[in-house]
Amino acid sequence: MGEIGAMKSTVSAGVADNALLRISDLSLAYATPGGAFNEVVRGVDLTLRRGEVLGLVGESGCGKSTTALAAMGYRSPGVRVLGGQVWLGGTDLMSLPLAELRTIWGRKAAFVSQQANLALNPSLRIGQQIADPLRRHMGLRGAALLRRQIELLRRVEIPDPERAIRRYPFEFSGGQQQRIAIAVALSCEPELLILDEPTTGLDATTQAHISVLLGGLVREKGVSVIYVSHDLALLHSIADRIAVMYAGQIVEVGTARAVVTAALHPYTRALMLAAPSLERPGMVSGIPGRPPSSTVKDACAFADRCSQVRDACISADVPLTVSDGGHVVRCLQANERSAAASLLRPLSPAIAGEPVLAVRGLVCTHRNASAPTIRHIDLDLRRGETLGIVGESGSGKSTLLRAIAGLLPPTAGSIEFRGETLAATVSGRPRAQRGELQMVFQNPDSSLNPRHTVRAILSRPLRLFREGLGRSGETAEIERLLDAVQLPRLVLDRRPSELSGGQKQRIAIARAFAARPAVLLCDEITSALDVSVQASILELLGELAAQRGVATIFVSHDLAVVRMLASRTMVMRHGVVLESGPTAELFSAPRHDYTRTLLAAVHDLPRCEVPTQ
Amino acid sequence: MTAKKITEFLAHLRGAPGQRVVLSRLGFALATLLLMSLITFAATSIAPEDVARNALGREVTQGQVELFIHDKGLDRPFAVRYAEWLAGAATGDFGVSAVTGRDVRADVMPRLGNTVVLALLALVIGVPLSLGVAVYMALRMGGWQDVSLLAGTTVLTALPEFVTGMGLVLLFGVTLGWLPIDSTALLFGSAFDNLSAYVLPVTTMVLVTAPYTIRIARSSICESLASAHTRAAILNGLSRRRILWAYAVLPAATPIINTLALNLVYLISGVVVIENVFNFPGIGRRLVEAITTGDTYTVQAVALLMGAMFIIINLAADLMAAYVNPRLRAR
Repeated sequence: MGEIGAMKSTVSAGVADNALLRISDLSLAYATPGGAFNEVVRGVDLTLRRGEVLGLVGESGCGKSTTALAAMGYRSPGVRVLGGQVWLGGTDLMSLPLAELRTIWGRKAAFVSQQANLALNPSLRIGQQIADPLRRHMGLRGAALLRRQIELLRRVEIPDPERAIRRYPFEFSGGQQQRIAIAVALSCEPELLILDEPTTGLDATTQAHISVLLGGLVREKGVSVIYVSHDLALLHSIADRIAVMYAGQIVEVGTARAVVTAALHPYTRALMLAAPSLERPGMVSGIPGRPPSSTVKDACAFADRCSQVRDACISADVPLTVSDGGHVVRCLQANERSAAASLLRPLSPAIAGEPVLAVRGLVCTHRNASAPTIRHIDLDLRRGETLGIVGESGSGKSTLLRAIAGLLPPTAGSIEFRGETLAATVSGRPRAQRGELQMVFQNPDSSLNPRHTVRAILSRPLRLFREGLGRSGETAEIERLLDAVQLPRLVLDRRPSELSGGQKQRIAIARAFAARPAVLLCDEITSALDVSVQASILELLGELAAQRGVATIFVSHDLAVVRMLASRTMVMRHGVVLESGPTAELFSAPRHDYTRTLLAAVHDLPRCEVPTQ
Repeated sequence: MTAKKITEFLAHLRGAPGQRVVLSRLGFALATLLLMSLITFAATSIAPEDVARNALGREVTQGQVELFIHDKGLDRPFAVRYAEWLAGAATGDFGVSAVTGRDVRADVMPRLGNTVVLALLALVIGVPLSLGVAVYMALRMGGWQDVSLLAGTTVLTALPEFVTGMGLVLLFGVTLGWLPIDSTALLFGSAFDNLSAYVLPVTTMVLVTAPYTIRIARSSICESLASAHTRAAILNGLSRRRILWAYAVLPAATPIINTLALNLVYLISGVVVIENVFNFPGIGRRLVEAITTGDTYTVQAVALLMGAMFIIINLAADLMAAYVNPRLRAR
């Protein structure tokens, strides 16, 4: 944490203007198939000072990535610039021809996108990919080029850089791929670095490592950074200033401390309440509704999701107002903080009933693997309780779930369900047992059949596991399930591709509950979702499991999520359990060093600063 | 000692995934070839009497048939005949044709040469053409050039090769009279005659195969152009040419190579039709002649050669796909 904090420069909000990048009155639109334009970014003004780290935060679809790309002067295909300029030094990037932008991109301004596994060319050795900008912009060749390639890889802590330059991207882990992408971006020492969610999708420890690395690099090179993220806690520890975006508009800008400790916009406060936190255990609350898909005119865009909405909010555009310390906000009620009670509800203590699942000495070895993925795991699960399993990628936590689900036959050990030994594979288990052990997967895009309607998806488990419901019983049950996961009836005839990520995951949860499970296995079910969506899914899961007395195993790399949901927690690494115990104890007094390392890697919003009023 | 050597060799292979892929594909290709030879031989000469009657024609007595069977050793067990034939085939000896009385190898090899030249010409012209057109279309995706070329390729894909071939014959051979409608000249003509004899068959083959390659390559390159790694290359300020070939086309190469292999494989069977349309003295026409005259040995030889070509092309495509796609190499 200390190292990351050092990423912040000494620039403070009041210092005289020495802007490197100035985005002024930028409006962007996507062309729709009908030929009309759908405005997604509206009148954005942002200034990035030299040596500063500016955080840009908001939910998916609020225009932050589009803005970040536009800050490079890049017009994504289908995007039309409705107005505004992007000044880098003395040039307006928006009016530069492509030929001139090519001399700036990679040289003066560099971009690191999310999902490094897609951003690296799968068919080129990574040495080539680092060499390309160096050859192009710096004219490096031969030994000098090789020296620089190796130096860059060493700087981003890729082991054995001399050999690494001859490898292909797929031979590296996700975290290493992102380090390589950072090395490519920094190769020509740019003044401006734009990071678009560079650590999203990586596990907490890898995220922390990369943040530390970035912090060091930024300090060392004096580069100015726009850091796009949906994680306020992360930005709080990394950024000098934070800008909050909603529906294509900037709704709040201020120093990182001011935005987090004295958030003025209800949206910023809602984002904070949606983020699970180690410091304030309690159920998070999602933000009801979804952000609009385009900008909103003549009203506050957040009005329909805001608890403080007044008539004035929906009758005219809300202007940005500046308060003390240069803290800027776009809200009419900013100074009348709501007296709304804290939305944090204490978790109802889980009452653990009779034992349902017992795993003894479980060992799993993947095909062609030299060592077992999990080694001698024991666990017990009681009715109504939630067991959290945390660990980095590769710790074996998903393998354990798959073995329990019968998707991966174990090499040794036993799994008992209500005192009966379960068959190794799901096909060997009687139908009733299959219904009672249900699993929800990480990615609903691949776990829901894209050709089936929601109705078909939900009726299948009912027919398989709840025979005798009849046609009308089935319809009634499907409707009950939809109500339980808080989705409207009209999704019934839609296919997964027509639903949002959060809606799809709700369907996956409803499908699991349709079978009336006794044990629910959840594998990173919220890691692909936005914080606000994650919050509502977690709320939902907590309620459903408690109501129905379902025992849940919840696997996640997000410690704060596990802290919130689980009554007991297991910490795994390299296929073994390092520590397990009641969640509150384990988090407040970790006994294993590794648990302490994991906890230290978590970015958290400070305790005293939660806007509960 | 030997066991130790084998383990060492296997360990060496484990360390060299590329070589392992090459060896496993090679082994697989050989096994396929062997199986195919068995099927070919079984299908053509499992019944000795059919072989004899095919060779002798209809008006023969039972005695003549039996004499033929005995003379040619067809009364021996199938396994023995197969082994003998296979041993011969492995050294290029397919026996003497009972119909033409000539050595099958000497008869078939020049024809094979003509066909190989035909297919290679189609490949050398067709591949760069397809790739160029595909890149052109991908760069103008959704534009009128792309849409009209897409429509054109759809029409060409839908036409069978004999229709395309006949159309070209009518246009260039009959109406315009620029090119020979018959490629027999290849057997005895001058250098110029030789060249012009190739033009129409090669054009037909390119027109029949290129549209499909173009469509696959176009969509694969379009996808690659819209990918995150191409955007990253653009945002690194790389040159247009570098972005296009190294970041858009190279990662799109695997499906294109697989399509090319399918096309070539198709060409081998399509060659039978095309050669007959143009009377082109290649292996495909020889196959049809041999079937009509009941020349079992020649049919066996040609079928085996065509099958071997199938397998070699697939092997080459697999190895090339592994070469451009590092992930396949690692498996």
